[in-house]
Amino acid sequence: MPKFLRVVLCLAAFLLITIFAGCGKSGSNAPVNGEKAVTFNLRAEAKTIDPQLETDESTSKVLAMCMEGLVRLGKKAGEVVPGAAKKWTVSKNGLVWTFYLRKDAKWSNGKSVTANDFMFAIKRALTPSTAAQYAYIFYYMKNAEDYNTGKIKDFSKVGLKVINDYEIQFTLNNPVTYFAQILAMAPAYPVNEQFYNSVKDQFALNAKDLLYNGPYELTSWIPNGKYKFVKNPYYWNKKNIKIDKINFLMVDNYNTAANMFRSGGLDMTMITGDQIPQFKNSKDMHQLPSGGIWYLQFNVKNKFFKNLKIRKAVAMAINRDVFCKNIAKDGSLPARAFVPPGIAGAKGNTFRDEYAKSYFKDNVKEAQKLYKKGLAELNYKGKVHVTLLVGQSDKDRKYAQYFQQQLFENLGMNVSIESNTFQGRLVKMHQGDYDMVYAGWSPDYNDPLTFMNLWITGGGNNDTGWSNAQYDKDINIAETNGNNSIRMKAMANAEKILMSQMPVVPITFDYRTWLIRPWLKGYVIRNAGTEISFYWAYIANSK
Amino acid sequence: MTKYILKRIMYSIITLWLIATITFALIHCLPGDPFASAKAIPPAIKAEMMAKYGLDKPIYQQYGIYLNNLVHGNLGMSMRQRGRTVIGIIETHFPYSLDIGLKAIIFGTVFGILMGIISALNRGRKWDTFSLMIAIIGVSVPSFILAGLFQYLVIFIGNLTGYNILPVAGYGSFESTILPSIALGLFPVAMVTRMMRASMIEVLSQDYVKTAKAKGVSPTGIVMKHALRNSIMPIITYMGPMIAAIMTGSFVIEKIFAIPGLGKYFVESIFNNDYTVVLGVTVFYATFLTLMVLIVDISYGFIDPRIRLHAKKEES
Repeated sequence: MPKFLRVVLCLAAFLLITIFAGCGKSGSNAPVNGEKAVTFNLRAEAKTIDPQLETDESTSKVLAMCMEGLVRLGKKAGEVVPGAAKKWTVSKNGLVWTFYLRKDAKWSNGKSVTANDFMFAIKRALTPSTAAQYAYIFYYMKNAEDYNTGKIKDFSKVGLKVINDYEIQFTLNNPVTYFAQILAMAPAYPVNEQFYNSVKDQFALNAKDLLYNGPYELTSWIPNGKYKFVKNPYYWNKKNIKIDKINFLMVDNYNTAANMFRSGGLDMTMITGDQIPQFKNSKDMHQLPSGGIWYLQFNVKNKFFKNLKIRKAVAMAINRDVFCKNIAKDGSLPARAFVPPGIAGAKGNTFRDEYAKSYFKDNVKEAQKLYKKGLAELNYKGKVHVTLLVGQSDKDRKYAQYFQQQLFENLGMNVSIESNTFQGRLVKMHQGDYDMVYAGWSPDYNDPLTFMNLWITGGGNNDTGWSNAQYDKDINIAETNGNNSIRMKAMANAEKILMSQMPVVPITFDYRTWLIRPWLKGYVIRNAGTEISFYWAYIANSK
Repeated sequence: MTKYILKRIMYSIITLWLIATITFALIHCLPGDPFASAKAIPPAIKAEMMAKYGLDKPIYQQYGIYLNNLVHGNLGMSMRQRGRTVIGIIETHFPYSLDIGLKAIIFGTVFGILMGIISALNRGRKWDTFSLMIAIIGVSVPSFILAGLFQYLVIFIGNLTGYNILPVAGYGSFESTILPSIALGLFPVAMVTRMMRASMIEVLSQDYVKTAKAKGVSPTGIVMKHALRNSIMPIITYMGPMIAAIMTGSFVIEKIFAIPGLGKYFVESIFNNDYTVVLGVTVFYATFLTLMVLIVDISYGFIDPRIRLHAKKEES
């Protein structure tokens, strides 16, 4: 062998030895708190860390780590606990909410968090030039919508007043029993005006261009790479924040995430239903409700789906138990109502506990009868061809094939599958250019209204073409009445109408499967609002 | 040479203009807009957002504004990542892609050349068969399959020994770039190996090499002084498309290894209808690749003086 090749091979061997010498121990023992960060898989990059411009789940999770509103979501479903405000009062008519801020709530530069910080933030969200996509969450406030849409120019007319440095008052258009949950959302997080003016165009573009008032500080941010959080030494409740360092990574490939969990690179991540068999004997695997629902949505202007009996036939022809067990395999539950379990009811129970668990059954024989009658009503004798619009993921296509097979075998309905991008699907839905679409919804806050107000006449999300005057009346009661029992009754009635008219067919209540280190305790995974919270998390058996 | 370079630069500018125009037209043909969301946005807010990014203007005006900004080096602001400039996005993410890409290119070229030489010198023997095997694997197995296999191998070794020899994914240390660089670089290794082998065999059969052997020059001397430079021309020719393939094909590897590179960002911006990022990154890639091809073409003249002499003779 030529001499130079021998030299090269020796160098290669030396390089390999050097690399292996740097390798670390694999495994998943509890780290020493503060020495190694607990690592969570965020999956997707936050679109921004500017609180008023928050629109996506990832941004919500990142900001929940390092910012705090007047209130925060508690450990239990639907619970709201004091945050930057130590308490609040609501007037008898439910229209005036007054919040009293803590005097020891501080920014990460040591300055106090004051009522003006919240005023500045909410005004910023509602200012038209900010173009904040979620400004509409503040429309419950008097004149907020008019200010945001430019109908009025004077912000002092909006129902938001600073009483003093530590007192802020909201005046609403109608009583909103879940208004505190709205104030726990990111667009309601405070912004210090002085700091904002000092960074202006750079605000929230980098980790150093934002002030933090939450339990953690964002010390480093590699976009699409890593967020590094370190306990905020100025946080008012720092003695109860048990984990010193947390990192968020963005690993959107599920196989890679599972591999990183195995090798110790991640301590908490989501996996898909297809990966469950790999971990089914592992104590690290947890299946938890996400609070969302998946459903088939009809275009009721379609020549077949305008018929109620045909819609009901589709609903009853699909075997949801088989779907959940053999197709989805991710712990999802069959859905035969629209509001998922875990969403708050009136009397401290959940909505599902207080009202009907299901409105129909999977029944092929009944479905076939209805289908025949429906076609007879339409005076249609030929073959039925419809298109099912779904997303582009393997999961979407797999599910679509199941529905296709079920509807063909049980009803004789020919279903073509059209796979499209998210944008493409939205455009088609908004234009009414579809027959049937597989869609999902997850809650913004823990109240059935976040699901039920989807289908009001003229609602921005109602692409079904369906309209029902009584349904609209019931939702209006739910939006404007201050008595929670009355609201829940109205929404239960609305749900009954929805399920009797079937513009949408519930399929599953969504579950997510997590891999979580056994030593990581106290985290909260919610079914509404910001999905994950490490506020009460701790490392068990940490040295 | 100067005339040649100037002519190439002029053609490049026309190419870039064409690419920018076609991309502009195509992106505006996609359904939806950058602000589409599952949760309906009130029309007034949507109108504000469209006005903020100039999307409420007629399309020809948007094109004119875009070209004017492009000429002044302004690629605009991202429509999905509020407040971030496209140039800032490229500055942040391209270094990661470049790091992995360069390492893959160096790995591909160096190993490919070495294996090609070994193969040529051991024609028909074990080393030749081994290099053929590597070449077939590199060409046939897609890089994302190799990426997954490497990850499983690391985990398997980790479970066996209790030690992680390399990080499975993520970007940080030098070690974290090894697996993605190898996964991305194996295809070039395969191509370069076969090209180098064929080229080296041809050069080794030349009379001047036989003369060198007869004069008692060592095998190392024959390879390094006589054969290598003459055999490397096909590799140089391949460098242009190889760099293009690696830099644009890195998206899948970046996704699998969770590397915050530009490729992954680029594909996501297409799905999100982030017009400015798509346009900006396309123009950036096109400029980069055009430059690489130009550098490769110029380097021919330096590696093989006959090309320069031939060009001079043609000009006169």
